[in-house]
Amino acid sequence: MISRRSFVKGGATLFAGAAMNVGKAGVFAADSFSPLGFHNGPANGYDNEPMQRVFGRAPKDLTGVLYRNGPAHFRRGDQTLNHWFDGDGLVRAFRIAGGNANLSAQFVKTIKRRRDEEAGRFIMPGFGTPAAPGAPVTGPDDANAANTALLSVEDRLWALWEAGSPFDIDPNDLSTNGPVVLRDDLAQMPFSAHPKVSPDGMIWNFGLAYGHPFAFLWGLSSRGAVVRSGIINLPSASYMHDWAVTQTKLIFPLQPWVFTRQQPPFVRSLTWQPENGLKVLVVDKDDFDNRQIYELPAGAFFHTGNAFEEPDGTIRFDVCLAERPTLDAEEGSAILRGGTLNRATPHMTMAVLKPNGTAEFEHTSISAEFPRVDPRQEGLRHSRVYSVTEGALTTNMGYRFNTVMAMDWTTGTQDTFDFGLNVLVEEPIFAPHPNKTDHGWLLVPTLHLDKKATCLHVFDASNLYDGPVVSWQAAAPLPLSFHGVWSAA
Amino acid sequence: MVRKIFDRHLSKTIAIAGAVLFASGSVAEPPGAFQNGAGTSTPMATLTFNIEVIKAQGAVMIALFDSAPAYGGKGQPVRATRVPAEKLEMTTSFEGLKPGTYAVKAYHDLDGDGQLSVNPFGLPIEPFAFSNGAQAHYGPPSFDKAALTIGAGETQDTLRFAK
Repeated sequence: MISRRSFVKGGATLFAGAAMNVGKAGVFAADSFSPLGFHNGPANGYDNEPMQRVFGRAPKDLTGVLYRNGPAHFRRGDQTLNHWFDGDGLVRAFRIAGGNANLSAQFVKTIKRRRDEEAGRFIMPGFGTPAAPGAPVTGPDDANAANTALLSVEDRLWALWEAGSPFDIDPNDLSTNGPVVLRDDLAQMPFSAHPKVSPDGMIWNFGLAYGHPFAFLWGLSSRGAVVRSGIINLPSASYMHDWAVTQTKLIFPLQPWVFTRQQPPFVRSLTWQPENGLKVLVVDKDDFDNRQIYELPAGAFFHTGNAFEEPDGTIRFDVCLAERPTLDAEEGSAILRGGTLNRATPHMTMAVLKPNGTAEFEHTSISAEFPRVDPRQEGLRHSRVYSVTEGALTTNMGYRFNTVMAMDWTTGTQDTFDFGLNVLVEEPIFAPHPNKTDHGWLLVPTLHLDKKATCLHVFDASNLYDGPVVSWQAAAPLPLSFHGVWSAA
Repeated sequence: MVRKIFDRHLSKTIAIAGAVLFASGSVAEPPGAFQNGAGTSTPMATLTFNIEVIKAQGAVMIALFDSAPAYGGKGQPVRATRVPAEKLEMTTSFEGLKPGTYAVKAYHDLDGDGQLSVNPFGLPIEPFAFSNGAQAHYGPPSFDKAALTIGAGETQDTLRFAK
């Protein structure tokens, strides 16, 4: 009997030629396809398009929607955006019910997208794209691409950027309602793409005062009401895309990628200053004035995983740490154009902040990005962190992650599934089992460069090595997405 | 206090409008605002603004400047007025002006506190508008973009508060 691992990896039906076919396709063949991850998504979207089940059977207890977001409009006429991060947000919904899956997708109808459409060209600014001269930019939400992540708040869905307001989305038809004003006097305050939802339902988030060493702190009830807020002084004006939260602490890792000048586009105002090391500010949830700063060697990161406190007060958090920044102005542009990149590789790392005020990194040699944990463990001790990583065969193109991984910090082992050369693997999302507190599934979207299709795979989260338990294939490829959220039915 | 930190043209969207938008501060009526033009023999000009708001609430605050330095915060407006926003469309006129070049900065004082409300990072959170249909671009449009050159008699312009 063929195992599901061998079926998916080597089977003739689903991924013929995708894996282990280096001899024929050549290691560099995938490079010419790499822009597939960065092509324009469907302008009119998809509405509950059935996905084809190509392998296995869906777990009967897995019912709900995987929502994902990511930039998906990169070209208008002869223009190509200057950075991956600047494409308009495309919200995708993979609905799983009755053993089937279907796919919906809609662009977030932002002010930015409307103004670009009216102009017939990209005129609005972004992370790596300057504004056209005279473009009407009256506040951050004019430039808000709502393209990075999603947050479920009660019965709504918020599409998140990082320098402006959440955009309110209807979770059923994915239509856009507009920017969320969390409180009248806090309109247009930045709400980052990485809110942390504590097991008690409290939503914590920050927003950076780009160019100045402080952040705005949001504490929202599970219904989205502002119950805590304040300005936090930071030890440096670092660029911070993600942070970490434990049961009692708010953790701001401040990499030495620092605002040093006013030069549009935004990313060009950052300077890498490794000599200054990486400082971590820890603030008490209950008392924002209770602060401690830890010093670590320099490193660059976009994403943290989970954070927790040990009984002696030690704080630990996962971080995908690289030796220097990646996806700066040059790399963010090259990746859209299919060029080969020599990016710094982020590695799975544990940051350890000790009660005596010292800190260290526990390094691994394992490449990793998009770390996630079982949401029931947010802020609590975890041992298994899920991420993407590089498999045995990767290319030197911009996005090299073709493998899904669970890193176990307790045992020091990795549980991986390598999809092979022509597959790009996106952020895995943990969907808890509705009844079993120690069980769940990992939902893993992939982009198949040879088949030119987006797929969705479901893994038993405790066993990735054996391969997906079910795989569905969409009719068409979607550009790579960044972050998602599982909403159980 | 935080408002002051956004004193320059910042690089990312956070400060695109910034407090620089109304760097001249309040548009409260300056001393001597109505002295202009009195007792001269030059034929006088009238500048009429059609005002469009999206909410009939509070008041529209309008400051009229006759030079780039004053418009840029290094001087006072030549006139200023407060127009109660009782309807979605209103008009107001500045009469007895010397023919010349003028520009307006205006905001819709929704909460009626006489100040442009800003969020904790100093960004305006009440609607604003400029003469000549000029739009903000990382801060207020230049005097030249907002400028209206008027001769004797009446000139009309529209201040449209979009959001």
